[in-house]
Amino acid sequence: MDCWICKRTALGVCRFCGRGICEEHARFHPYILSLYTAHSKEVVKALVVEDALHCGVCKPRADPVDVPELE
Amino acid sequence: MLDYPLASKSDHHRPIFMAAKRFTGGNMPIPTASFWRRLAGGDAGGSPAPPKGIWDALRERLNPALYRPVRSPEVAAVPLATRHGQPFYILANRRYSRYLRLAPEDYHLWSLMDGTRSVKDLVFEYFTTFGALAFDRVAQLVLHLRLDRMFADPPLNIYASIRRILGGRGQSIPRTLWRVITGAHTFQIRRIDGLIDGLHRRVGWLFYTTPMQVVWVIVSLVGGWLFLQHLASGRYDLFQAGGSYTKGLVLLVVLNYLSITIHEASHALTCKHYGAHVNGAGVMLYYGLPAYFVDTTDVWTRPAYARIATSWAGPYSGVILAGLGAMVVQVMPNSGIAPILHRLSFLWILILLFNLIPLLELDGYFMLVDWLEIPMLRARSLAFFRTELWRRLRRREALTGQDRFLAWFGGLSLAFSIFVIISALVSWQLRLKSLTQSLWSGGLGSKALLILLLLVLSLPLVMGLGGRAVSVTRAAARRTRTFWGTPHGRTLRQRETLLQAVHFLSPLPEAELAQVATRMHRQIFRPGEIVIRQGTEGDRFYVIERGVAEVLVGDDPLPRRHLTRGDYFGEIALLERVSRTATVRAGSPLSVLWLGRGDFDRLLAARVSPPTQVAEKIHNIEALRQFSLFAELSSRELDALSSRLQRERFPTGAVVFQEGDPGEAFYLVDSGQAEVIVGGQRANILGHGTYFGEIALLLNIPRTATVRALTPLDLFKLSRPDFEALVATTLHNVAAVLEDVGRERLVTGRGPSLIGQPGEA
Repeated sequence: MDCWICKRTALGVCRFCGRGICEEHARFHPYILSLYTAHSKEVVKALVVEDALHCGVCKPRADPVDVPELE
Repeated sequence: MLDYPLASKSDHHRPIFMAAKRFTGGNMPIPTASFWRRLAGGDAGGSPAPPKGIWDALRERLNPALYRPVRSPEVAAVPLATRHGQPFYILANRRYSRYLRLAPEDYHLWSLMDGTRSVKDLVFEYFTTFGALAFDRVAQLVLHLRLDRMFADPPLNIYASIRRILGGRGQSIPRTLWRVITGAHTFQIRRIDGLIDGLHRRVGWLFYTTPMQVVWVIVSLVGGWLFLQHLASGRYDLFQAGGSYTKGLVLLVVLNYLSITIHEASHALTCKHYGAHVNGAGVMLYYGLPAYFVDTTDVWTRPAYARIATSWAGPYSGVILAGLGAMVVQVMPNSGIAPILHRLSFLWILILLFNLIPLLELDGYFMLVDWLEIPMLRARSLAFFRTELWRRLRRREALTGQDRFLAWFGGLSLAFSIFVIISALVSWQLRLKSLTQSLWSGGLGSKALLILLLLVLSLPLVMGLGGRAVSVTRAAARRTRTFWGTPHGRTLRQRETLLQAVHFLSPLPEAELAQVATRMHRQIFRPGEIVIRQGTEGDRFYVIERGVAEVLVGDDPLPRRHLTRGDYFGEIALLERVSRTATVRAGSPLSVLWLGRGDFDRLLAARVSPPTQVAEKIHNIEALRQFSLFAELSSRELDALSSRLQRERFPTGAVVFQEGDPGEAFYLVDSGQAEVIVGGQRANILGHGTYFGEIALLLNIPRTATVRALTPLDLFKLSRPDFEALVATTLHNVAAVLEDVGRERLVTGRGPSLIGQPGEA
């Protein structure tokens, strides 16, 4: 697989979108592995990878999106 | 960006609006509530919209151009006016202590943000109301409003929160301590408004009645005169108590903090008196010394006189108390309390004098700024005095009235700052000499106190000088490296990324673009410094790397627009010698990359085609700039627009579109004349600079008139998908800038205030 940006050999894959990415163009972004509510059910907690591979091309949304169609 | 003068707008916008109205000729009314309802339903004719798949729905929801902002019910909008009568509005979200200043045009958009209009609709609304396409303005407005929590759906910013939490865990104790020592961390109590309100309702209001105001003036004058008499007599020592310097010093420090408390309480009470909230109060270290502050930012929602009174209240309370103290001392000169009261009076008068000097950023300065309504006065005047003044004197250019004021204020501020530092050093040297001797000759406790005192006193100086030395060294190294050295690696890639967004350079192959990036020079500007001046001849093209720049036109003191990362200006200077059409000034610490005409010519001399295409694109931008419709667009937006505008030419008699045709594009007349025919009758004649078919930018509805060329007709055409793409691209650009460089608060300068320190309210 080639790097999406420079077309050189990719060393990894963007955790968010699957684009190939070389060492030169690799970026890091927090990635949420799992969400759960604590015992008190008052606080949402997340299991997080702090430095997941990110291509910098895709844009992980920082805000949830309403999907009422699925309700 | 959000603050435009009305006067210059209304003049040239009205005719264009009229042109739009004439064309619609009553058949296609200007959008009304029912129009917007139909639009919200997603269908022009009111028939039910066809069902959409979930992916289409998601795609639509993720399109920033289709985002529908809704005003938060917690936000209050306060109409105000400058002393010249120019209206503006302050939006206040007191829950989060967020304030934004809006020009009337932006307030008009704000009033439309009720969830029925998308960002695209707002761009269109601005266009029909003010006669200008303002992608960037609307995008910046919407994003600033959202980030400043003015909407019902404030941003969650999940990843930023995660980064902050993860970063916080890794923060070491020394780093936290450093933040406390440098004043980056404050200890603030937010819910203090109720307490101040109660104090004002029970007792405080009395202080502001007319009889009491008369009493205060008499007490200030009589007491002030008595204090001077006591000071001249030398009867009461300021530094010794009971013959001991240690006791005297401790007493002085305690009394100092009592003075500070009263001073800050006066700011808070006056803020409350004018109906504004007190957002908080707290303690912080300022240059190593503990300082109190009250947050009176909310007084921005009140007129200028209320802001000036709030600033004046602190030092004035000191004068009154000093006067009262001196009166008591006069009545009971031999009582034990007399020396203490004399010391207090001395401190209050000292604080008054320091605070009223407008050359330091204290109460007096903020009063002057509020009165003159010149934001960033000190930074601008110092910047002007340091660089621009001497450059203009060398060239023997005439100085305007404003230039002379800035030069005088900057010069006096600089001279006074130096005078204060020297006076303080001399004064402390004299005072400290006897104090040090006395403490050193005392016991172990006295010696420990002396060491502590020296540490506390030297800390600000060491920190100030050390910090300055580090920043100067770093800046010098950076300038040397970036100016003379060849950028490489990450720096070069960043520059290439920046240049890739410059549309007019797109004909250049990658290698040529890399060469351009290599040849660019970085230059840093302080806030208030001029990058280019209107009327001067330019030979450099600039791209903003970091920070915010303000564009000023003519003598108008308010910025016409703001430029941020990725914006560029002065591109025509790469081709020919022309006078700059506007002044660009740094609105924050600004880093720009510039390319000289000579470098550009040398780089591209060997290639024929790309430079020609680049030149053509630059000329296209300049041609578009002449249309008042595009007056609010930056070079970057004009560049993006020029690549989406299609040219269409029609011979005499040709029909541009027929009544009843589907409307899919908007047209702007570049040259020639066209007639508008409604129901077989000529309704209007259109010429250069007029436009028609703008409703097609929003809706796919049949044309309500026929347009036919009366002479050979040259038109610019913008299709609806291209219009939407421009809105979305601008929003993406602005969002990226805000994420990258952080937000520039639109109301600044009244954050936490400090007693006797810069930033005081």
